[in-house]
Amino acid sequence: MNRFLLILVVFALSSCRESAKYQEWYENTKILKQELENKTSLDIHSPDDFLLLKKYFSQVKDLSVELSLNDTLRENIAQYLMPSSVEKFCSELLVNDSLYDEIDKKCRKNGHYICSQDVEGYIRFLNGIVEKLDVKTKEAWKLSESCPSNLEE
Amino acid sequence: MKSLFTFLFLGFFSQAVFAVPRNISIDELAKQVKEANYSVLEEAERLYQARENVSMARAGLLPKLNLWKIASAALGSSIEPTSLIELVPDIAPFLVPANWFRAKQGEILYFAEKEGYRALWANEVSHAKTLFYQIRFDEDLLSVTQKAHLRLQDLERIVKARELTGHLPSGSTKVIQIKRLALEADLKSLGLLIFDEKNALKAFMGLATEEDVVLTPLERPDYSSIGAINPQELVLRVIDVAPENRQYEHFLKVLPLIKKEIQFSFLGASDISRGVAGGIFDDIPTPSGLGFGQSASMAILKSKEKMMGLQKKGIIETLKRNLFSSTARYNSMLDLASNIETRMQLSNELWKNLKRKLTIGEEVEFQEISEAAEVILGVDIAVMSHELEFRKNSERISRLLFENDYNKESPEYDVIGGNGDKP
Repeated sequence: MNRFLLILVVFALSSCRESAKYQEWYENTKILKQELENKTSLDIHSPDDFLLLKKYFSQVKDLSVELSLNDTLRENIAQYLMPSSVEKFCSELLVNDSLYDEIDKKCRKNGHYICSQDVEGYIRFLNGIVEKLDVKTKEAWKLSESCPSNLEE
Repeated sequence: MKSLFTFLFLGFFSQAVFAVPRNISIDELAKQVKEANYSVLEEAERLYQARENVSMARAGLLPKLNLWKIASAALGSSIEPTSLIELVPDIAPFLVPANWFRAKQGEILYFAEKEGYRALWANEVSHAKTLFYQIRFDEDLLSVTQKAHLRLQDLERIVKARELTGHLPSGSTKVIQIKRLALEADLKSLGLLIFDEKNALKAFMGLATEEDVVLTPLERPDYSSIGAINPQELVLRVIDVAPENRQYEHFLKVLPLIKKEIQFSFLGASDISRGVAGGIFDDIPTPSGLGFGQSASMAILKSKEKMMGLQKKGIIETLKRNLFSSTARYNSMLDLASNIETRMQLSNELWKNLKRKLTIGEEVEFQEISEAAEVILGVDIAVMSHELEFRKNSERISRLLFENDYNKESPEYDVIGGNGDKP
């Protein structure tokens, strides 16, 4: 009985830690996205804007990578990202298709990609996240107006 | 008897196949280097070791069934509570915090090793491609020198006839003859140089020395459709994408974990290896148990952090220097393209004019003939050198930006989409 309780406590603690980590990631991503959207004109060549883009898109990458590496997060993602919360998740955290297209266009100059590799990989990161969702949440993502639709099939 | 005959036939046939030269284009070269270069394959093995080391580190967190140790403690004449503490690293290694930090370090260092692989792979591709361009240049130079040799043979004949008729001073033929013989020696040296360069290229491609390779000629760049590059626009991308810089970013992520490892070392030290890339941290001593060495370890760690920060800055400056130097040369070659084109046209006209004069028997100074032959050869070489310099710098820029043949993504991308397929 004691052993069972101990195991339960260990699992609860690790789950709490995971949840706190996710919350921290959520808040940071939300702030960065707002910062990005509030930029009236994005200057790709300025170190500040380059870094802002890198930071924001790295956040999306981090979730995608963690979902592949972290078993606990992968098992718990259904608790954080449910069909009912997809709309909020996308509108608060993800840049929409038109803004991304605009950024991507600015990043391509004279045949070179001049932004961070993490900006280039956005669609891939989104695919990495979506494929870890359950069927209902995936459906909700597809139907949502706020969620990026330019995913790979 | 029949099988012996088949064996001999196959042996002869394989020799015959081996003797057929292998055509290599610049695109095939990059592919071949990626797949068969010895250094790349060796680094891939190191990467495999790093990956296995992460699994090993994780396994190290599981209880070890060191039955002999447990039994000897249990059967000891007097069981002391402290002797049971000694067993903790074996029975419950996950209770030793240092082990967790080591396992996490191994995971991060795997990515650092992968960046190292990416850098080495890109360098090998870049060196092989540059060597390909150099060999093509030398082969073209050989062909131009052969043409110049033929031109001198023609001239020698004409000059000899004119010398005999008294139209040119005596000894004129000898001067041309000396130049022709010098060119013959140059042709021999160039042949040897190409032979050595091809052998080096075969090594890059992981091919046997005996194999013969023929390099497919390259198309001349269309300079009019290529724009100049502004390095200021690319500098941030170059720093961001460089595996050399990214590797240090991973190293710097490991330092806080080593700090924690030292802080919690009073609960036991870890014997889990950091992996192949972890050697860089071997000079940071980790005290074991309740000792007095913790503050010294921390001081060394801080110094290490400072040192790595400086190394990272050095790498960034080197990257910037390489970018600015390569783009300056690249742009300069673009500027010179029309100059080269004009020189080529003038040189062709000069040769045609001279040949026409000589053919119709017009009066031509010997000095004029001798200078023209040198100018034409000089222009031919200048055209090829210009093209080589343009290609080399274009390649350097692609390597810095990790585009075209170097389009290998960051190692973290590899795990996306996996299900716990950890490094």
